[in-house]
Amino acid sequence: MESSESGGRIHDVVIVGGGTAGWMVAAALVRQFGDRLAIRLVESEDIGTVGVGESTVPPIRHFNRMLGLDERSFMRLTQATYKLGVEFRDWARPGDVYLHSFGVYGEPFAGMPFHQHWLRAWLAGDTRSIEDYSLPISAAKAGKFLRPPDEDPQAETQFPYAFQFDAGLYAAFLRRYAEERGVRRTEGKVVDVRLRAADGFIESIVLASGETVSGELFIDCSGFRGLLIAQALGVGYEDWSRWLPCDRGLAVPCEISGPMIPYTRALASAAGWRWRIPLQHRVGNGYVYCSGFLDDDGARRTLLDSLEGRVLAEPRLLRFTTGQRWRHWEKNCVAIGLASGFLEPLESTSIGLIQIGIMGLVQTFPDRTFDPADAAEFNRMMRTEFERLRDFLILHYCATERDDSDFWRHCRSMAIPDSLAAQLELFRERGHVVAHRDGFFKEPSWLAVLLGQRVMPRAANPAAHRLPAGELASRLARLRTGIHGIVSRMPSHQAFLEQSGALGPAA
Amino acid sequence: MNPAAARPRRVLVVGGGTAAWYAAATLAHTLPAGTEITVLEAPAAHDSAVLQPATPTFPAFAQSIAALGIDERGWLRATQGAFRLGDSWENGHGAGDYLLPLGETGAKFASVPFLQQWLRLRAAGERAAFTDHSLAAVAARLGRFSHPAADPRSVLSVLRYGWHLDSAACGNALRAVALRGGVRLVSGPLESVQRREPDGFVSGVSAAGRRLEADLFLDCSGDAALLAGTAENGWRSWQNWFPCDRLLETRAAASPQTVLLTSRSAATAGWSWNIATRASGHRGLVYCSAHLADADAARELGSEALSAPRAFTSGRRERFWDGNVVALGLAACCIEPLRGTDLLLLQNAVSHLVTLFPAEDGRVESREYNRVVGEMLERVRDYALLPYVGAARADTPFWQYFASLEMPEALAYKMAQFRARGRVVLGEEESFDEADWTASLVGLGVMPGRFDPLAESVPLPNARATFERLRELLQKAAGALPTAPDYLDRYLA
Repeated sequence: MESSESGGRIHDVVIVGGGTAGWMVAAALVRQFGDRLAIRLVESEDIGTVGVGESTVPPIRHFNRMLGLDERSFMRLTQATYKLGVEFRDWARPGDVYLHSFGVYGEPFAGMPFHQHWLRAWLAGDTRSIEDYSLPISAAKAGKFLRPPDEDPQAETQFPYAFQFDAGLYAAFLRRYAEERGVRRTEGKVVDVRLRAADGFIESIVLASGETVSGELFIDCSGFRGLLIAQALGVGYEDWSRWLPCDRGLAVPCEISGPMIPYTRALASAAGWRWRIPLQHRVGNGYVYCSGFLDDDGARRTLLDSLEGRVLAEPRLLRFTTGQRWRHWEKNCVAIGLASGFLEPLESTSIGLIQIGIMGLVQTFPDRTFDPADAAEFNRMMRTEFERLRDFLILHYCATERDDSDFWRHCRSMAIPDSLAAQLELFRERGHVVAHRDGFFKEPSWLAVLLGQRVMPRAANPAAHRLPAGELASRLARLRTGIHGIVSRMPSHQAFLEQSGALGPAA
Repeated sequence: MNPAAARPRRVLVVGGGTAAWYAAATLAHTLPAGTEITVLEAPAAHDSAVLQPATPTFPAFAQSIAALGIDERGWLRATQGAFRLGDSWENGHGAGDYLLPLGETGAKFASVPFLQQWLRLRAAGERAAFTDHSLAAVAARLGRFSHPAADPRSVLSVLRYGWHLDSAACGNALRAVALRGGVRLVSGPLESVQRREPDGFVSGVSAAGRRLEADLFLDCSGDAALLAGTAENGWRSWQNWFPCDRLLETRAAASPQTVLLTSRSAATAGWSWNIATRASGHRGLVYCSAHLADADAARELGSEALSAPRAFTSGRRERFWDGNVVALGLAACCIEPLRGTDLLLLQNAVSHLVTLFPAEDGRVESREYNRVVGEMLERVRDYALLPYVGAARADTPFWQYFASLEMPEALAYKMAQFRARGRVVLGEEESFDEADWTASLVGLGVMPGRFDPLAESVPLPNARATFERLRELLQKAAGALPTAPDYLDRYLA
């Protein structure tokens, strides 16, 4: 076996680009492989980082646990708040509000998924929202939070949660973490990439200082431009802007006002949507929009007019094209983060996708022979994730009744991928949600957004009608009462942050 | 609009045997009051779903029987059932004989799958077999059994089991359950089928001198496919992958190899089986008629066959659900019984039918059903194909054929991924999980070229000691169990 001989093993790994992606990769690899890898990270202070994220999805907790980082220290370090989901405002119709949490609705009974029972009751005239059967949504609406008990994964008080945090502080923490454990950071701008004549693999990168950094495996975390994967290796980009037309993001922090709510907000706007991400020390705000329908000045005005507090920095503009690299791994280069593709942060997945890339890389970590099977599997996994997520994001746009702007009129009439069209048809017909093994967002997430976007089924699964109506009503009532009781005993989000010692030094 | 008004109220099941009665019993247990389920039962030469006279089952089947409210003791008494912990395979040559246990092998430690740690130890010279770390395999070798422990802290909680059932008795037991559950029975052969214009939906059938109408029809008539087998909805043959097309059976004495294990052995032009139900031993031969004449097969069987050879063709119907007819069992698909997957396929199909039971005319549901059942079936096909494409044997033309066989794309990918570094890539609709695929591939001697470098985060002596402890623990736990026949006798007493 080759791996048992040190001759076959990769030793030198070069990460190009710092920022959230680069330092997450560096920290994860050094944690997992220890001194069996020599990891170098090349970044330039002249090049700004996008600082993606701020709002995350629950797997970030696994990532932190893998690093050995306890939750309280992490929250203090990054000015983090708890996140129970995303509140969508004005998406299907102006005035609509729904929450996409990370948790399930109710519980399955009588051999049926919960939502089929709910649907049966709803079609029979029970107007209660399915949100009444979600613990995290009920807690979010009440502005409450209580960390579920680690020691009892079956407890009725369990639910998944994530964080809103300062990605810049997180990257700085990860940098310290990685450097302390032996990752070598090199300051410098890459001016050339040298390929091996024989097979086109990357041999080394050349820095502005004249220094040459060689390696066996290169991780491209250089952001949108894809310094290695695109510019040096020529891997093209699959453009998805026909389905996801937004191509600009404007971000600005402001002072916080009002109570600290445990969720992110996504507000549909005339030519896209605005985010609101509450941290301990400030609020992150942004406007994602389509330049074909709104110019940058107009977006800037809308965004600044919407702020709840004093502006803390000059708004920053990002240009992007939604899509992905045709291959995320090419030769001896693996792209992670924005270099591998971009999906707008509507569901807070930027950091999640980085994490999936890291997990994928660990599962397919090559040796010096660079077996094509490793790259093939990495590419398959990443493409599946990107495509499923793409469909999920399109759902937010295409399932709308809005016709109050050209942008929304475009969205409601655009052609959509067949995979999404099939899901919409099945849901409309009978509330059926296709269960996929792969892909980040599972049935409860699809359910949240389908119902939130007013895609209402015409019928429930006939098998849901087996349970006597009285029994159905009492089971539903029991579930609501249970959730109500748990939420009533929870402290407010603010109080929990204070009493758990998660608050960082005041900024 | 009353949302429940348009759903099918009348279901007519055409055929008999396990497919018809399993489907009828499940629907009767699942659909709301006011649904009328009728089985039009006609005598048939063969079962509608199961090819072998005695069949193995997988753990999920026991769950589906329990979900129907059937008590296991009564069920085992009625079906001559015995417990099963896995499969054994002999005469494959090359990698040799192997045992394929049900359930997990080993346990994940140091964040890598058990296989990766085993590969690493193997590279360091360890010789312990992969299956030495499976409770089911260890217990099966000792001939010992008990039900899994409910306490998750007990090592016995990881045990997974199936049954060996008498196929005909299984159909009869399900028939009794269905009839108790309110399913109506009409006896007599199907005489004619009436279809309506312009969509070709079946409007009714004639049988026993009367006309039976329904909204939804289930074709459980086996190979005959009386409703589903139309000119526009043909049979897609998989004989290129599964050239065996005959089955010959006889009775046999129970032997130690057949306690807890489905015993199979490669033969010159196919394979033979040995299965023991509680009542009797069953032996038989599955072979390829192009390579072995029926007379020679009879000779190879050694003792007198119980009936003429049963002919079959592995493959699938183009559309399982076509109009208002859903084909189940052998009317829908056939995978030769090398892995004993007949009941598994039936169970999965019926489960999808319940999930997608039409809310109205089924046009939307049938598309999804055909997609999802098709994928499920193809993954089971790939799993069943493994012993052929992974076989080292090449001493007869039959076995030589597989050396150059072009595999289904998904299976080729799976095998390449496993060969690369022991990665098990699971598709969207897998009936067998990572543990099953791993045990099966390792058993066949398909060995990864590398292992996960993270396996080395544990020092070698520690990993070695952990493995040793695990083997001792399993030996001790399995050794303390009662012998399988004793346990079964006491359980059913």
